[in-house]
Amino acid sequence: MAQFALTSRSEAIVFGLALALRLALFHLPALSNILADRVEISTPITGFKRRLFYPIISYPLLIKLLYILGDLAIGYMLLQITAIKDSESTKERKIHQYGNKIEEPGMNGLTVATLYLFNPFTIASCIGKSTILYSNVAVVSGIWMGMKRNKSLAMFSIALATYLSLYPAMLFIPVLLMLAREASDDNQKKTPGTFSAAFMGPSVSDLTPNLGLFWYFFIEMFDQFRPFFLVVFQIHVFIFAVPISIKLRKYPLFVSFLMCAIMGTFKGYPSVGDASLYLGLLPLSSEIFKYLRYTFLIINLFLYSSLLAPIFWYLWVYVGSGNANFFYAIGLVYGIGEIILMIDTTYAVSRRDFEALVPPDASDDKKSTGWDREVIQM
Amino acid sequence: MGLLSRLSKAQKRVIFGRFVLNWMPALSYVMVAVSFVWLLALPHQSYSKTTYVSENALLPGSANVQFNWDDNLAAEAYRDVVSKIAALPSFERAEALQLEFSKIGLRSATQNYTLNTSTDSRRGVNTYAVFYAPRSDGTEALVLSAPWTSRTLDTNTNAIAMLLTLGKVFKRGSHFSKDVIFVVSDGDAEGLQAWLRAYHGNEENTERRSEETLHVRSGAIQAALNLDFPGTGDYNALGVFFEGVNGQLPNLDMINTISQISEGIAPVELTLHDELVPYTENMTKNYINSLKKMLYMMKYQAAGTPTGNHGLYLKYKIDAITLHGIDRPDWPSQRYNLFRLGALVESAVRSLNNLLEHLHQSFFFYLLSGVKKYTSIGLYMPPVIILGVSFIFQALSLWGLSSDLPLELEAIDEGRKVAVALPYSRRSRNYKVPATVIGMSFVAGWASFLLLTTGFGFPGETPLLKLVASTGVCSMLIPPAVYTARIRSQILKSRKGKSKKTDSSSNETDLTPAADWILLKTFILALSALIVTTLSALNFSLAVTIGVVIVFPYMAFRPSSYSIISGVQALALMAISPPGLLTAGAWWYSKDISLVLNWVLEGYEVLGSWLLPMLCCIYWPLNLAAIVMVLLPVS
Repeated sequence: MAQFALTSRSEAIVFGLALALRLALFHLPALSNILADRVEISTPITGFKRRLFYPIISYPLLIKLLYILGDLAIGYMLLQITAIKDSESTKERKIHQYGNKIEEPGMNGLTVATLYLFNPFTIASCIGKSTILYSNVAVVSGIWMGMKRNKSLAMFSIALATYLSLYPAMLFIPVLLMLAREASDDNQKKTPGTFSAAFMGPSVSDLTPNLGLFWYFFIEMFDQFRPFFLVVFQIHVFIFAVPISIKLRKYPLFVSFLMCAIMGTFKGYPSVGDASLYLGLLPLSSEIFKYLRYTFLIINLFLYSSLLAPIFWYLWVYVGSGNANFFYAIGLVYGIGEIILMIDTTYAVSRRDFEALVPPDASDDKKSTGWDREVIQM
Repeated sequence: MGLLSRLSKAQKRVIFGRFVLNWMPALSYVMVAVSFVWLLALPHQSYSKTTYVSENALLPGSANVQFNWDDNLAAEAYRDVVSKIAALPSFERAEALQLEFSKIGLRSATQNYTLNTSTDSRRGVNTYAVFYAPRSDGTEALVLSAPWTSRTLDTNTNAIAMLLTLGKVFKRGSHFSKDVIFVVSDGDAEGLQAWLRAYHGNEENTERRSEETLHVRSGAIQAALNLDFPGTGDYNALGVFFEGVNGQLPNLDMINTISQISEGIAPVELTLHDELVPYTENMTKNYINSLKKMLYMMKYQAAGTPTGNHGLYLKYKIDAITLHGIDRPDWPSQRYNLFRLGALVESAVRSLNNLLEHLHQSFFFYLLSGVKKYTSIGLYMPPVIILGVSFIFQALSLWGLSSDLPLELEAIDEGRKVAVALPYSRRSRNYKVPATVIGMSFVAGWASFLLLTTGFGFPGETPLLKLVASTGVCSMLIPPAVYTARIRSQILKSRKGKSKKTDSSSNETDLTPAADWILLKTFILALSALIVTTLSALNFSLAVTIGVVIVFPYMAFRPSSYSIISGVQALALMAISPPGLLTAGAWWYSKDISLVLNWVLEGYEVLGSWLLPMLCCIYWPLNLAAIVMVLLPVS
């Protein structure tokens, strides 16, 4: 009981701090406006000034509260998802490590929520009033409901996310995996009927520069090739969904992280709000962290690209001594960072899976120890 | 076969791990040496190329100059008029000058402005006049400007007289395709700043500053020349000033144009800034001279405060330079008077008038080691990148040290001793202390910046007092951070001792996280690399200066078990903290500290230079974290 009181108090502190920080930052109207104008934060689709909220736009306080609540809700849902995952992992078979030790538990829910709520990308996206937040809320609630095995709400959330930004349609598969886990009854047969899609993004008709890979390419393109490459680019986003889900079907939470990362990298109008989503989902699989190999590189790539993007934008648009190549190059660096993150985390998951499959100390043979031991067929 | 290849793979990883741990720090020092040598080699004549006019439309010096002997006489007459007017107070002075412009037949007006900084309030009146080109649609313009006060603090008499004369000359010709705007600005830099703000009219007046709307206007300004010819005499040489706010540079073709004209149609000795260097055939002396020139440029660029009013144009994407008349009676070069100066400026304006589009052909990123010697970005960027990479290498080796490098496990169980590369890191990193220290020091840095730039309005408030207060705020952070970390490590140590007594597992030592300072130093080095390399895209000279100052202390310093050594290191770090640097700068130029501080504050408040925010919000926090780092316990 005392323990419970302690955790709930620290939860209150974390969420209270997150709320206070956001309120304080919203209090500086200049900051909010600057962030709302940054191309890294608001894209033609997610920019606050471009659409949405016409009915309530006359109540600025209400809008701010809506944004803050969205962020806090995601934090809360991450907390709940971790709790469900933890309760299930106690039943799981423990992985034995070298020296016959049992694997340490992953991050607790509060850490996961803190990492999301105090991620600079999340804060910038929230203060910049990027509407990607609502799509993110829908995605995370879909995952939460999936973990809770609440079929209809899970599917409703995914459908809502799809309606808001189309790409989360992919998440249908991992959520289905969550709903179906450890239960071989008729869950899979029930497919949702509430799909509707917003077909604003896919045509990529507005070529305002952003962190993504589309705009530069499509500026250069002759018109007759446009539909072809549009199809190629968009299929490329979706093409990973099935193989990933098959290969990593045991880890639906990780699959949903990976899909969000793929969306955030390859979609038409990515923004830092997408990064905040997948970086928030990543700690849900915190047990793989110690298998990561390129942490330093990935952190540095994210740091450099998030500092250089505004600088090169400034050199291009305000000073005029740079040009579009400068900014696009940083978009590429950011993309490389995201791709290395995906590759490395996928490696870590597979490696951990392998460790679970083949416990290291199973035999006395030297061949079966260490990093480069062979897969022993069992 | 399988065994051999597998073992060698594990061994390869071990070798790599050892390389990272043992050789990378050494390698990083080698890289620092390479970067320094490269930087010093830049002004050498075999690394700098000769400049050339890249924009073909400019055709420098090819137009016939209209400025004749009669105009020279007119200029001398105007010189007397201007000398008389200059003695009047601001408003009357501006009115009288406006009258002179309208006598020529140019549309002219005056503009009032006010600017309140945290220390004082400035008012002034600008005068401006527009010559409407007969053959243009008024969409493009060139600017000729002159401040009332020269950089030598004399009255800028000759320059203003030249503006009036050129107005007269231009009026005669019909070959202009761009309007020419004449601006005579009041005050230091704030006068021209107010004029430019009003001309581009995208900012509303606030309580801090207000400027009158302009009544006479023209089109988009393509280029500008700022004239600075103090006094009423003749000059030996012509100095070019080109560094703008925050180290922004004009297109190199601006300087190329002037240098071509000064060799042909209006022969004048041209130099960078106001330093005259004798010609020499001696290789070594030549190199030293070039190095000096380059260091002067880097000094001006790093300061981020423009060396003349031209710097303000650059913020509005207008290429501009200042021409400064240098009067050095003992200098052996031929002296020149208003006649030749008129020809030079007219020829330059005619050349810019030829432009079909904005200057874009030539370089925007360059270092000059002479008027005709430049180093392009491709050659000067690598040393900064190498410097950044050397930081990264050190950070990487510490990062490995804080975790699983070398990737070997000598003994897993007793009786089995083989080099095994583990698939995961054995010990987790403890981020609590480093993350808190870095976070707190950034908060302290930002607090000091707010403290310095806010006027609180209590009596006896001076910038120096605020600096003392913010130094207090920042240094208050250090003792609690150090003591908390020390106590924490004590507790951890005693806990470890207890657990050792109870169970004698051999792996326990591997699993304790690395000492706090290792991770903190990793963060500091990685952030330093980030700052130096990204800043070099904005202001190369500032990035180099910061890099050179911090590279050795941040790389070499680490906590020592002898508290004296740690103390000395902390003192050295305090010497390179912003207050320390400020004191050093004041001592070097033998000026009062508060004067230097005022100059920095003015740069931020009047010109919008980033030196102060950069120092307070980015440089200082890292410095504070480094001080905490050297005072942390060794293990």
